[in-house]
Order: sequence, then structure tokens, then C-alpha cells
Amino acid sequence: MSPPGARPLPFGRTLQARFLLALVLIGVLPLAIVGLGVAALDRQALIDQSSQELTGLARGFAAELDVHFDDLTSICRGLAVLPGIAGMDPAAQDAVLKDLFLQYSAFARLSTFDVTGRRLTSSRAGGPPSVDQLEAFQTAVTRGQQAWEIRPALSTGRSSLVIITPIRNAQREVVGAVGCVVDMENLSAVVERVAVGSGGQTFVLDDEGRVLLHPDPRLVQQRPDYSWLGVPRGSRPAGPGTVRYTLDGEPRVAGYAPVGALGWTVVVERPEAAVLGAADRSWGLALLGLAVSMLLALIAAVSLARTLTRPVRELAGAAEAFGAGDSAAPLPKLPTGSGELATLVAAFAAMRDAVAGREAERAQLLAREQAARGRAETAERRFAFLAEASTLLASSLDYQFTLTSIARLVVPQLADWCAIDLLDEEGVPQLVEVAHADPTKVELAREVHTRLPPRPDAPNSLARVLATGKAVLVPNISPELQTANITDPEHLRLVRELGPRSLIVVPLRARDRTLGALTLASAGSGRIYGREDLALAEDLAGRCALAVDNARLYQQAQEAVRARDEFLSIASHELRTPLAGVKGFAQVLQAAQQRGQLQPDQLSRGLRRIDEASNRLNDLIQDLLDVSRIRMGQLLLRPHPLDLAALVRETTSRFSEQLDEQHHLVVDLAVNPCPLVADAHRIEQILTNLLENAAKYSPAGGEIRVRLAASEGGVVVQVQDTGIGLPPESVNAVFEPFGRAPNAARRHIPGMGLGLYICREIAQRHGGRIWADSGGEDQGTTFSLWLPRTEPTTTNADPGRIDRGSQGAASSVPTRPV
Amino acid sequence: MLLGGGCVAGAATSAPIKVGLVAPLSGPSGASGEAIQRGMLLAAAELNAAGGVLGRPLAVVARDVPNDPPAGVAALRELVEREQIVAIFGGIYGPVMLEQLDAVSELRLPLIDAWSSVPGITRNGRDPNYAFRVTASDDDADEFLARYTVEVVGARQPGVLADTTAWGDANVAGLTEWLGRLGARPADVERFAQGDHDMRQQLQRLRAAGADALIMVPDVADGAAIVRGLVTLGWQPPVVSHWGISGGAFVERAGVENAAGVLTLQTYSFYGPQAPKGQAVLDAYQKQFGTRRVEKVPAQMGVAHGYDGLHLLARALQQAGTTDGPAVRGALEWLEPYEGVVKRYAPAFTPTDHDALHAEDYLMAVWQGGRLVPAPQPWIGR
Repeated sequence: MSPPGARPLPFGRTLQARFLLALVLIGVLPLAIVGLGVAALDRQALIDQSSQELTGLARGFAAELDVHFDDLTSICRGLAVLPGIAGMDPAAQDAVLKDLFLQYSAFARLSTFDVTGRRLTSSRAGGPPSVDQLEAFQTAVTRGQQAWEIRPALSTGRSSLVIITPIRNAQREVVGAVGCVVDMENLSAVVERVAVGSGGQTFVLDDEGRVLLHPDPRLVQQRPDYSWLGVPRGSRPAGPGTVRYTLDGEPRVAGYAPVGALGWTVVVERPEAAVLGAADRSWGLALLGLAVSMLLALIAAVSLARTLTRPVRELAGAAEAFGAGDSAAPLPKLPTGSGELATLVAAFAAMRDAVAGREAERAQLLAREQAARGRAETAERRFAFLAEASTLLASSLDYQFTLTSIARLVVPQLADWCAIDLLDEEGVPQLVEVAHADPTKVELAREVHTRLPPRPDAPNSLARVLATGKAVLVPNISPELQTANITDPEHLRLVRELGPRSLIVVPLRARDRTLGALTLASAGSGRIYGREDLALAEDLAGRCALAVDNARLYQQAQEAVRARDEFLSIASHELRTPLAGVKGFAQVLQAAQQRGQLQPDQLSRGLRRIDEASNRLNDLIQDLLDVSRIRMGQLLLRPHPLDLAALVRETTSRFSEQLDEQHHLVVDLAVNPCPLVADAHRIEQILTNLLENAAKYSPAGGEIRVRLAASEGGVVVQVQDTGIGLPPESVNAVFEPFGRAPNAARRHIPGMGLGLYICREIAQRHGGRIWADSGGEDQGTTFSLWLPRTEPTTTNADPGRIDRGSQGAASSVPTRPV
Repeated sequence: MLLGGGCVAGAATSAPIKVGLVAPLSGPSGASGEAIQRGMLLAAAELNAAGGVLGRPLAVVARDVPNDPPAGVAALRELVEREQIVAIFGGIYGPVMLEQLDAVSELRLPLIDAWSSVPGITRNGRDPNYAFRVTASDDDADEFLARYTVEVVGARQPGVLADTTAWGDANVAGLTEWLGRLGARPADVERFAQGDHDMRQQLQRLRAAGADALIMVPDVADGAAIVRGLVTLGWQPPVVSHWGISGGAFVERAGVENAAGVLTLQTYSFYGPQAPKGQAVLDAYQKQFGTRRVEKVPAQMGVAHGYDGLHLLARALQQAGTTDGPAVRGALEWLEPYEGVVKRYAPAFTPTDHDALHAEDYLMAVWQGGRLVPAPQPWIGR
């Protein structure tokens, strides 16, 4: 825990050690003195008290024993003075003795003896015939005094008290003695009647300090010497007293008291442990308290150290660390109420925070400035890049070329490889340019790119970007992601070889249309694209799209100008021809009239030619008006139910009347009748146009076949000629305004190139189609008009939509300008 | 005198379940009551250490009542009213319990006789019968005494000496019958009044009638008087005694020498090798009551009866799940087997037999050196 740089102090010099010492001196030592002193005093008091109690018990028992013994000796004296005991004949004496024996259950045996000690009578048969050896007997007969002694009982081997009382005759001479035997059990019943408790016991010593009565009969039999108890051998203790001694290694406390008449000593003793149990407990309590105090002192010292010395050390460490530049070094955590220490720490923290705050502010400013500079530089680079790109894009209206330049600009600066796709007229992406930082991998990149799956549902794919017009950013392409949508094993291998890491696909969009897409990828550089890169790519893509769109618009404008010039040239030529006819015949007729040579047939022929030329002019003007209407969206249809077969028949019939002899018409109506809803006039216009074309473009004459047949849910009208045919590139072009086949122009076959355009528009407005088939030049041409068999559809750009309304076809076709 | 039964640590802290004891606790037969009480206290301490009974500690409340039947009934009612005891134990005085039978039936209180052998205590003809016995019954005791006298002592015409109480009457009848059954007969039957010091007349008559042994039915004081009488007469027949003399200070009154050799009926003795249960109870006794030697355990069967009786009652309480008297009474009749001190009770009681001990559970003891020690037991399939 020691903070870096803190020098460890020797324990003796730490505040912790001093706290501990102070606490011990102030708190624990007095406590120890008081506690242990009280315990010691307590112990002494308990011993004193117990000693007094034991002495009291001993005195009580001694007194009781004394009284009991007094009773016994009194009874014995009473027996000795019973009338007739002295002079009675043995038989009478025996009867009296046995009566007394039955009356006094305290005596185990009663006997009488003559002066020589010979037994005269006894309450019980057996026993020694003489007691002259008995000291007590000798005392009794020689001194004439009652005497007693302890003897082993004859039959049981247990001790008995034998009391001998002299019997005197009328002359006060000792003539015999009464012997009374008292079982020690009888006496011990007196002593043991009251339990001493607490493992203590009561016993009685004789005047020589030997055990006389004891709860343990073995001690009574062994009669061990207890004179050392303080009971002087051969003499009685002067009074009650207390003694402490050790028995079997166990310290004991005993109280004793002399039994007055007997010269015995009653001892009441207890194990010191029982006496001092409470004192020992209080002693133990004192020691425990002392231990607890020491522990508490230690805890307090440690706690003080924690709250004072450790915070100080930690604060010093924090200050050193701060000096070394670390302003986040932990400050000591202080509990509440840490007083001045908390103030110190708080002050230090405030100072450090203030300094650190200023440092942080400065660093922040610096960082902000650096960031701003970085952003400015980036922006500058981007601007330069975009400027360069813009310059490139503006350099030419040939967007193929400029896009190639852009790709080469992007690759070193923005991507490791790059691809630009543009959607063609069919909406199919066409790869415009591929560039790669490693020139050897350009082809690889191209290969990979062209193999990209065309499915717009594949996420992050080029196809999807093209379909949705939304940019895609894949910052990190994992190996799994690289090959996620690829099933072709060759493609897989190529992708792995290329190893794209990060990807941006941005759409090229202008005027809300997606023109193509720009694909940027990083590989070897390991560059990871972010939002900024995406924004830059989008910006670049926007500029590219604008350039492409502009270039395309320019091309269109150029084409429009060219078409207008062509139209003017063609229109003026076409208009001039019939007009020249009108003017020519008019001048011829006028000249003839002025000459007066105007022949009627000449007039008739001239007027007819003028009429024909006027009709021709009218047709041309009508066509121009139709084109104008189509362009203005004002081509009106008036559909009605009609029989297409009848219409074809009528038209061909009318056409055949003006057909020259070189052509002949074959009409085949496979569907007859053929009910349909359509604008009869406009359909007839198509048919007429096709028939006229057939005749016009087969100058050598030939068969014109017209066929009406059912086809694909509709009907098809085919007009087939054997004329000059169409080169393949013109098969579609002839339907464009002023679209004319080159072979027709070559042959100076007149025509503005508007008829088929108008036909196509009418067909489309009916929901139908018109197209041309030709085997090539001079192979003849077949024009086919397909019309839906069902009720007429709307004429807008959705030819598939079918109106099944009950209002009828007429009302469902819009008649207002679109 | 109220002696709280061992409310030791571990017992539940709720109000104790109290069990009463009405028996002599002082006087010549006081040791018998004290022994029963000590046995009960040991059992209660043991049960309480194991969590008590029905979640409550057990307590023993005792009343010191001499052979005074009305005092016994009064003490019983006082215990029920003041201490709410759930059962009552009885001691050495059969007449007291006979007098209590009406009260226990009325109070619906189980009565457990822990000492008295008066048959009528349990065989009282009542239904329901609230009295149970965990001690010897005279019906069996007489068989045992007669059989021992005839078959072990070898007497053919023992003299029978009984006091003039109902107890004495019953035993005279029982002994006479059993001696007859065993092919012997009493030489004579003598009776004495309780408290009589001089039994010589009766003893002399028995001696004159040719008694070859003496079967006596006395209490402590009378037993001592009989023995002293025998001593004074110098007649030393084999003496077989009912157990009344084992309930107090017999040897102090008779004299060690004079009491030696008197055979006494017992149900249990803590002398000699003990079964684990007996040893455990003896150890607990020594520990709790401060004695050091088995000789210093007086009236040993009282200890055993009190101990076993309270355990059986506790099991009945637990089995009944209540302290309700009729339920406990019923449970006592259907106890699971219990390994007690005296024997394995399997079961202790049945609805038709409220005596837990029978002749085969008895033993004969003999006074030697002032102590009652087991006598030779050559018998009854033991």
C-alpha cells in the first residue's frame, strides 16, 4: 500500500506505534491494574467467605455431633443407673437390656460387664467374652468415669464407638459396666445429613488426626493421618479454623471445628476450584477483558493509523505522483468526521484539480486547435481533390474519357481499386473503367467486378446500389463477408486474391435518376472507410453524375439540333416537291391559258395533278400535325367497338383501287370477324401507312400480303412486302421520328420518316405494339401491328394495365391532353 | 416445597409442562420419595436438553406427604389447581394413592405409581383407568418372595410377618397363596402395628411354630424393629423382606451388624456391572447430586422408577400431541417400545395391564456392611 517514493519508517518511529503505546498506557494499563486487582481481591474475598462458611458448617456439625454424642452418653449413663442393674441376676438384667435395646435404635449392641470385664449379658449373642483389655473399660472401672473408644465392630469389621459406663452399687462402688456400641453409620448419618454441595464433603477426624467418619468408607478403613490438617496430634484444636491443603493434587479449602466432648474434629472441605469457581470466572473475565482491551487498543491504533497515518502517507504519495505529472493518483478515502485531515485532503484535491483543470484546458485548446487544423487540412485536401476531379470532369464532354481520368485520380488518393459503372439505355450496368493501385491487378479487378452478381437483393452489392440509389459503406469486410454472395468457385478465388478490406459503393445520380455507380475499395493499404470517406465519395459521385448527365444532355441537344436540321431539310424538301407540282401545273395552265392553248384535257389533267399534290401536301401537313400532337401529348383517341377484319377489308379494298399494276394485294383474314375496341380512324391510319409504305418501298412491284391473325391474347395485322428491305440497324430506327432507312434515302424514295413514328405512337396508345422484320436489304419487310384482343387499355405508359370497367372502352380512354 | 425440574439450556423457552410428585421426602421413608424425585429430575434434564416435550420444557413439582391419604388427595388437588400438572407420580405409600384414585378419575389425570406395590392401585376396576405402575406389584412381589424363599433359601414353612395395614393384608393373602402353590405353607402368620418397637412376641410365636425362614412385610422403622427383635431373641432365621425397608434409614436404625444378611426385594440396583443406560443414569446422578460412590445412592429403585416413569410419560405426551389427560392416558396404553433403566419396556402398558414391571423384572438384594447389594439370582430364567 505504500505509495511510490514513500520511504518506509521503522515501526518504532511510526505514528501507529506511538498510538498503540499511548493507548496501552492510557487505556489498557489502568484497566489491567483495576481489573486484575479486583479479581485478586474478589478471589481472596471468596476464599475468606467460603472459609467462613465452611467453618460455620463444621461448627454446626460439630455441635450436632456433640449433642448426639451427649444424648448417647446420657442414655448410657441412664442405663447404668437403672434400678437393679447392679444387683440384678443375669437373666433379669438380660431382659431389661433387651427391652432397652429394642427401645433405643441408636445402639447397635448393648452389653453389661462385671468389674473384671467379663461379659454378663448382651443384646446379641456372640462377641468377645471379656473387655478387660479395653482401655475405655479400664478407665471406667478404675476411675469410675464414663469412657469411650473407637473399636472395629466384630462382625462387620467397621468402626464402632464403644461407650463404657461404670455401674455402681448402693455403696457407690464400681461393680461393673454397661457397654453401648454405636455404629459409625449412626454417627455419620448425623454428619452427612446436610449436603455440603459443590463437590465438598464432611468428615470427622479423631483426636489423633485419623479419619473416623468419611463418605468414602475406604478412608475410614485405612484411617489415613490428617493431623497435618492443622489438627494437633493428641490434642484438640482450640477452636474452629480454616486450612487450605492439597489432596491428590487438588487444592482444597477446609473449615474445621472441634467436637467438644469427643475430642474429634469435624472437617468440612471443598475443592478450591468449586470455591473459587466464581473468582476464577471473574479472574478469567478480567483477563478476557484485558485481552479484549488490548485487541481494541490494537484495533484503535490500526484504525487511527488508517484514519491518520495512512491517509497522510497516501496524500504524500499523491503529491509526489502529482509532481511527476500523474494528476489521477488516488487520494486517501476518509470517513466522515475526519476533521483537519479531510480539510487537508480537500485542499490538496482542490489545488490539484485547479492545476489539473488548467492543464486540461490548455491540452483541450491545443487538441481543439490541432483538430481544427487537421479538419482544415483534410477539407483542403478534399477540396483539392474535388477541385482536381471537377477540373477533370469539366475538361471534356466525353464522359467516358473523363470517368477514366477520375478513376485514375481516385485510385491512388481514395482507393486501392476503383470501378465506375454506367447504366445503358436498357438499364444494364456497363463497366466504364476499372483502376487498381497495382497495375498488374487491374485485370483481376475487372474480372471480379464483371462477375458481380446482378441480383439487387444481395446486400451491399452494386446491383442493389443501382436499384435503390442509396450509397453503401462497408467499413470492414470480413473474410466471410467477402464471399457471402458468391457461389462461382472461380469468382471466389479471384475475390480472395483481390482481398477487399473496406468498401464504398455510391450511386451516380443526377436529376433524380441513377446513372451508374462508383465503387471504391481498399485492399493492400488496409484503409478502413468511414463516414468522411463516404461523404467525399458521394460528393465525387455527384460531380461525376452531373458531368455524365451534362455530357449526355449535351449529346442529346446536339442530336436534337441535328434532327431539327434534318427535319427542316427533309420537311422543306418533301413539302417543296408537291408544292413544286402545284406551282408547276398552275404555271403550265396559266401559260397555256395566256397562250390560249389551254386544252380541256390538259386543264383536267393539270387540275387533277394539282389536286393530287395538294392532297399530298395535306397528308404531309397532317403527319406533321400528328407528330406535333404526339409531342404535345395531344393525340386524341376515340375508341369504339369495331370489327378489325371489316376495317382491314375496307382499307385494303380502298387501297387496292389506287394500287398500280405492278403490285398486287393478297389479304388473308384468319380471324373474321375480329371484334375489338379501338379508334377506327387511327387504326385505319396505321393500316394505310403500312400499305402505302409497302407499295412505296417495293418500287419494283410485287406482292403485298396482308394477314390478320390471332396472336398472344390479341390480334396481329401483318403487312408483308418484297421490297428493298431494312438493314438490321434500321429495324428499330425507322420508328423514330425522321428515322429513315439508309437504303431508302439512297434510292431517293421520298418520305419524311414520320409515318412509322406516328404508327408506333398510335399502337402504343392502344396498348399494342408495332415492329418490323426484315431479312436485310432487298429481302423485303414485314410490319406487324399487334393489338390486344381484350377491351382497349389505357393509353398511358402502362400498356399492361387493363380497364375492365363497365363504363365501356370509350370512357376509359383519356381524352384530355396528358 | 417446590423443586423446579431441570430447566436446562437447550429446552424450549415456553411455559413448562409440570409433572407432580406426592411422596414422603423426609422422615424414615424420605429417601424413597427423594430417590423418585431425583430420577424424575434426571429424566427431565435429559429431555429438556433434547428440546423438551411438545416444544416445552418439563418440570417436576413435588409435595412432601407422609402416609396420610387425605393429605395426599389435598396435595394432588393443590398441584392440579396451582401448578396445572399434567400427571401425578406416587411414592411408597400405597394407601395414599388408593385414596387418590377417585380424584385422578374425576380430574382425568394420569397417575404413575413409582414405588408402592399395592395391586389395587392399578387393578382398581375403573374404566377408564388412569393409574399406571412403574414398580413392582404385590401380586408379582408375593410370587417372587415366596419363590425365592422356597426355591433359593430352601424354606418349607416360613413365618410370615406383616403389618396390619391394607398392604399387609394383601401380602399376607398373596404370600399364603403363592407358598401354597409352591408346595410350601406359612408356619404361621403374624401381624404387627406400625411403629411397634418390640416384635419379640410375634417372632417367638413364629419361631415356636417352627418357621424355617422369615418373610416380612414392614416399612423402614418396623423392619429395623423386627431385625433388632431377632437379635435380642438370638434367632437367626433367613430373613426375606418386602422392599419397604429399602426406602430409608434402615441400616442406621437396625445397626449394620444386625441388618447384615437381610434379603430384600428390589426391581433395580446400581451395584455391579450396568447396562449403558444404567451407567449413564448413574453417572448423571453422581454428577448432579454430588455423590461419589454407588453405596451413597439411596433407594436406588426409586431413582430407576422415577427416571423410567417420566420418560414413559414424556413419550405418551409426545405421542398424544397434547397434555390432555384422556389423550395421554390412551397414549400410555399404546406406547412404542422403550429402552429404560430397569428393562426394555415393550410395551410398558397395555389397555388391560397397567403394570410395567412383573416378577421376571425383579431382583433380590441383600444388606451387607450397611449397603444393599445384589444377592445371588439363581433363578426365574434370568
